[in-house]
Amino acid sequence: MTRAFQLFRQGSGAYVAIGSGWAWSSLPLPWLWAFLGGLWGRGAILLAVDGLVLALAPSLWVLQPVALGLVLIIPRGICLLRGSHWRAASLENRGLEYVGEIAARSRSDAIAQVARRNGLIPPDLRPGKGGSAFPLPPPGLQPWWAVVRLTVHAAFRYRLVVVLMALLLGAVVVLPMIIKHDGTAQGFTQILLTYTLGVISALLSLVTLWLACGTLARDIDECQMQVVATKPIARWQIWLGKWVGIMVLNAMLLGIAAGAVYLLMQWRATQLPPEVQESLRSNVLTARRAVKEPLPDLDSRVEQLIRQRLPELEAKGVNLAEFRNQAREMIKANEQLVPPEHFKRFRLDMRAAPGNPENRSTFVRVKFHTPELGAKRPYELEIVVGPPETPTRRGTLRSLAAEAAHEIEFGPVPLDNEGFLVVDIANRSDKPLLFPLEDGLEVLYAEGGFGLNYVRALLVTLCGLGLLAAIGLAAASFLSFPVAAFLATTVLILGLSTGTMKSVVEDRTILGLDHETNLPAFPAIDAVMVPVFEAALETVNLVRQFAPIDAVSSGRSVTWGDVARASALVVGLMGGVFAAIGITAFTRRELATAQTHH
Amino acid sequence: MPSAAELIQGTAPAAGSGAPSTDAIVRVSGLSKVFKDFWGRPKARAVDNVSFEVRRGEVFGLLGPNGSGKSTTVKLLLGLLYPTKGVIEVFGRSPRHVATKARIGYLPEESYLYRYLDSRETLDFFGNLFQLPTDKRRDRTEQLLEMVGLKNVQRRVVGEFSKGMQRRIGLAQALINDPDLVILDEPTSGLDPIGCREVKDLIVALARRGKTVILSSHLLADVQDVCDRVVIYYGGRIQAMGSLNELLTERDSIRISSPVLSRETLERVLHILRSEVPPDAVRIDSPTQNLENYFLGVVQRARAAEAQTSGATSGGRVAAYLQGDGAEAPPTSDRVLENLVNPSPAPAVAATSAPAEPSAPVNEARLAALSQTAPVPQPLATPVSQPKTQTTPASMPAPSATDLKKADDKLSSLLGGGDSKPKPKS
Repeated sequence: MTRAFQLFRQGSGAYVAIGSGWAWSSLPLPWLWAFLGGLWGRGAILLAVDGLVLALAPSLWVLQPVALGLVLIIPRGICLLRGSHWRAASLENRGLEYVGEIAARSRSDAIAQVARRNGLIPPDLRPGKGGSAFPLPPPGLQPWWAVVRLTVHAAFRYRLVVVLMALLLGAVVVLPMIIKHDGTAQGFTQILLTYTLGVISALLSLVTLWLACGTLARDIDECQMQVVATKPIARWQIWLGKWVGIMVLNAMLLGIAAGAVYLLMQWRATQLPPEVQESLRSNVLTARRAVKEPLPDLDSRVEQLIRQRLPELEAKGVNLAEFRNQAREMIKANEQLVPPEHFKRFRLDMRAAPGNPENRSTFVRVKFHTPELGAKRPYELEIVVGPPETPTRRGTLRSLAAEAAHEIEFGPVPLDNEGFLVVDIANRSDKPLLFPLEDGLEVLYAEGGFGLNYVRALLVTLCGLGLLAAIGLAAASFLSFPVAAFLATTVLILGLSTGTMKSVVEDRTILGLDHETNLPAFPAIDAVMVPVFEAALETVNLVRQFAPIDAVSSGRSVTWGDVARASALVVGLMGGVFAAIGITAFTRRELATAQTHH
Repeated sequence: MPSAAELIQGTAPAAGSGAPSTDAIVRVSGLSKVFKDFWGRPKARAVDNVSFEVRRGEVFGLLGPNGSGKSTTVKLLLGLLYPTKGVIEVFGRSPRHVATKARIGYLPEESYLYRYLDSRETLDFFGNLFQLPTDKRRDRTEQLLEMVGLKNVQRRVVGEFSKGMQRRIGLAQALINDPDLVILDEPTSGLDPIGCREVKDLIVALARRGKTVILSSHLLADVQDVCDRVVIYYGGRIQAMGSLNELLTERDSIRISSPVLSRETLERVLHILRSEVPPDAVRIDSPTQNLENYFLGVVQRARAAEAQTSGATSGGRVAAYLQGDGAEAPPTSDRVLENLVNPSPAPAVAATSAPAEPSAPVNEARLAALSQTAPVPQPLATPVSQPKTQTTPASMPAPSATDLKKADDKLSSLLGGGDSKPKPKS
C-alpha cells in the first residue's frame, strides 16, 4: 500500500521525504516527533505541555479528568492535522528545494524512486485523488465547499478558534469551582448546567455575530471578494458558503465545549452516594415530558357572560370593551385562585405517554403565588393523585414556598378509566393561593435518557446560532465591518429586551397614558408603533419559545419535534428572511466601489 | 513618397498561429458609468460613452493617465461594477454570467489575496472555484508555482510575500483555469526586469495560443512590446484607438540600420540622401541596446556563475498547459519588430523570424536612381551633424563596382530580401 510523500532536495543533491496529509506518527509522543523533525521550538512547547500534564496528572485525574483528557488530546490533535505542513515549511525555510509529491511505500522508497529518475516524478507515481482532510463534495458544489473551507480556515489562521476554545473550556473548568448552590447534588448539577451552558451559548452567540460580520464585510472591504466574485461562483453560493462555514465552526466548538460539560456531569455523578445518584438521574440527568391541563377558553366564557348580561349592560351604558377586559381578568382569577381550605382539581391527559404509567415514576411540579408580597414563609399544601374515591389514590402534605417551582415525586400513579391523571391541590394554609394557568401545575414523567436529550438541546441551540449567523451576514452584505457588527449586536440586544416590548403590547401604548384622561397620550404614534412592537414580540417569541438550556437543566425533554420546529421556524423561516435580504443585497452590490484598503 | 512600412510588407498570418480573428470576444457599446452618492446624486462620470471591441486572439491595451477610466472599464467588464448606460458583452453574454466567468482570468492591480493562505492553498482554493478535479488542480498548481518562481516558498503565507511575489501568485491564480480571456491590470507592477520579461513572454505565448488578453498598464514600453491594439483614455472617453502600427508609425521618415560602414561609403550614402532631403533632416548615430536587454544579459551571466538569491527565483518555462504544444514563446523583441513593420491587423509572432517578403514590386526607378554613379563627396572638414552647404567637387573619381554592389546589396536586404536580424527597438 502506498501513501503520499513530499520530496525536498538539499543543496548537496540528497533528497528528504516527509509524509503528506495527517501526521499520524506524531500521536504518541508529539514532542519527540517534533524534535526528530527539526521543529525545535514546537518540540519544546509540546514537551513542556506533556511535562506539566505528567506532573499534575494524579490530582487532575481526581478533580478534573475532563480537563486532563483535553490537555492530552488537543496538542496531539493539532500535531496530527498540521504536523506535515510544519515539517514542510521548516524544510523550505532551511533552503531545501521542493521537488514534488510522490506515492511510495515508505520514505526510503520515495527517495529511491526520485533519485533513480534524477529528481523527476513521472505522472504514474504521483499521488492519486484525495489526500484531503475534508470530505469531497459533489462536483457542482465544489466552489461552494471551497468557500466553506476557506471560512473555517480563516477562523483557525486568525487564532480565533484557539482563543475561543480556551475561553469555553476555561468556563467549563473554572465555573464549577466558583458558583454557589444549595449544597445538594441536584441543585449543584442544575446550576452548573445552567451556568456553563449559558456561558457557552452567550460566548458563541457573540462570536457568531462578530465572525459573520467579519468574514464577509472584511473580504469586501479588503477587496479579496473582488477576485472571488470574478470566478464562476454565484454570489448566493458565496453567501451560503460563509454561513455553512460559520455553522461548521459553531458545531465544532459547541460540540467540544458541551461535550466537556457532559463528561464532567457524568463524572461528578459517579462520585456521589448511590441514593443521591439515583435521585439526580431521576430529576436532572434525564429527559422528562411535561403534561399540563389545556388552557381554558376564557374568551368564549367572556362572550357567554356578555350575552347573558347584555340587556343589563346596555341599560347601564357600560363600555363593552372595558367590561370584556375586566370580565376576562375576573374569570381568569376565579380559575387560578384557591381559597384557604379549598382545593382545585386538575385532570391531565396521560394517554399520549408511552409505556405503562403504573410502572413509571411520575413527578408533580407545582408553582403558586400569594397576595402577601415578599412573604418568605412556607404555605401548606396537600397534593393528592389518583382517581377520586378509589383505594389507589394517595397524597402528601408539604410546606412549600411561593413564587418557586417544586417537584414532588410520586412514583407510579394510577390513572382513571379514560387515561387521565387526577391531581387535587388542597390549600391548607390561611391565605388564598394563586396557581397560574400556564404553569401552576405540571406532571412530569421520564421519557428518555439524558444523553440524547442533551444532543437535541444542543441542536436547538445551534439553530439559534444559525439565525445569528444569518443576521450578521445580512448586515455585512451591505455595510462595512464595524457598522455591520454594531447593527447586528443591536438586533441581538433588542431581541433579548422582550420585557419592554411586552409591556408596550400589554399597555397598548409606547409613550404612556395621559394621567388626567387615562387614555394614551399620543394615540397616533401608538397606532403605528404598537403593531410594530407586537410583530417584533411575536418574532422574538418564535425564537424564545425554545429554551433548551432551561429544559435540559431541569430534566425536561427536548423532543425531535422541538428540533424540527426550531429548524423550520428559527433557521428556515427567520433565518431565511435574513438570508434573502443578505443574498439580495450582496448580489446587487457593486463590489468595486467598496475599496477601503487601498 | 511611399513609407518604409508600405515598402516592406509583412507575411500573411499562418493558419492556426493564433493570429487575432475577427470574432469579437468583448463588445462594449455606448458604455457610461456614473458614480452616485448615497442619495443617488451623480458624483463622478468615470466612463463616458465608450465603445470598442476586443477580438479573439489579440492583445488589447488600455492606456490612460490616473483617473481616466481604464480601471473602471476593466471592472465593468468583470461585472464588479454595473454600467449606468450601455451594453457590455463578454463571450456573447453578460459579464456577470457564471458561464462567462469560467473563461476569464483576472489579475487585479493590487494583491487582493487571502493573506493567511500560502501559495499552494491559494491556487488550490481558486482551482476549486473553477471546479478543477484534484489531479488537474494539483498538476497546474505545481506548474504555475514553477512558472512564477514560487516553487520553493509555497508554504509561506501570502501575507509574508514581497509585493513582487504577491504579483506573481496573483498572476498564477489568474491562469489556473487556462482562461480564454485574460484581463491583466498592471501585470508588471512590482516585478523586477526579469519578471517583466517573463510576463511579456507569457502574454505573447497566450496570444499565440489564441487567447485574448486585455492589458491595462502605465508602463508604456511594456504595452508597446506586446499589444496589438490599444485604446487611450482621458476623462472617461476614448481619445485614440487603433493598432500600434497605425498610431505610432511616423509616415514621413524611415530608419535604416546597418553594420558599421567605411567612411567613404558613409559619405556616399549621405550624399545620396542629401540629394533628396535637406541635410538637417538626416541623422546618423549608433543604435543603443535597450537597458532591459543589457540588464538581462548581466543577470544571465550571474546566474551562470550560480550567484545565490532568496525570495522568488526567476521562473522557468511557461507552464506546459498554457503553452498548448509545449513550444517556447519567441522573444518579445521579435514581436516588437513585427509590430513596427506590419500593417494592422498585426499578425501573431511566428515561431521563427522569417525574412519579410515584399508583396509589392520594388520601385525599380528609385532603386536605379539610388544605384547611379554619384560624385564622391570630399572629405568633410566639419562634423556630419552640422549642416553644410553641399559642394560638388570639380571632378570626382567614379565609385568602384565593388562599392556599388555593396550598397546595392545592403539596400536590397532592406527592401525585400536577405536575412536581416531583428533587433529590439532602442
